[in-house]
Amino acid sequence: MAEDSPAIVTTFAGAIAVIRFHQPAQRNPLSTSTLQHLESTLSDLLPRSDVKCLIFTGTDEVFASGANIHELSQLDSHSALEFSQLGQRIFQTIADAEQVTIAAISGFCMAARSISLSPVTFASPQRTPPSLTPELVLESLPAGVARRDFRG
Amino acid sequence: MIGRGRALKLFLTARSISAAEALEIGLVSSVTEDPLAIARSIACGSIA
Repeated sequence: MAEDSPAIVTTFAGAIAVIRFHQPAQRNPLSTSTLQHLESTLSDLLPRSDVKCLIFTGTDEVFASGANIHELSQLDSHSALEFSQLGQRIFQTIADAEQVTIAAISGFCMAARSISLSPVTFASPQRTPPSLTPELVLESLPAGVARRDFRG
Repeated sequence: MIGRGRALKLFLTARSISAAEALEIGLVSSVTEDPLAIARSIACGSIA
């Protein structure tokens, strides 16, 4: 897959939007550009009354590999703070969404925060087990985010 | 959602966990052969 392929691809099936992390060759890192793309995507989708459900998923055998460690190593304190705030803002936005949010996870998953903010999550047992990045689990706690009951 | 103790344990040990364990501790809601198909099914049910 070309490096310039979109980090996120959104498709629709009626009122369902499937938001797919789409850089499996890099294991779908949640880099700054990906998070900005995700924020833009959410800004487009969340105000829409015709979109009732958001499904987050990965591509091939990868859901997401969490923060881009190489990118993080290049940040200074100011840009690191900005990166952290960007991530917090996005995941809080997902947590606060009016729409039903679902994470469909197949394969590698090192972005547990994104799982934790989805009220319904599914994982595949036969593929590579999800690998859950613990610091992201911990990050979700100060935000006071809890799994919500599924609104069926 | 999984409790501070479990979160701290994961954080401090930095170990990977399986889908089965993720289900056991409540980090995921279900483990299934085709997560996206199930997600679509649930989504369709939620907006019916």
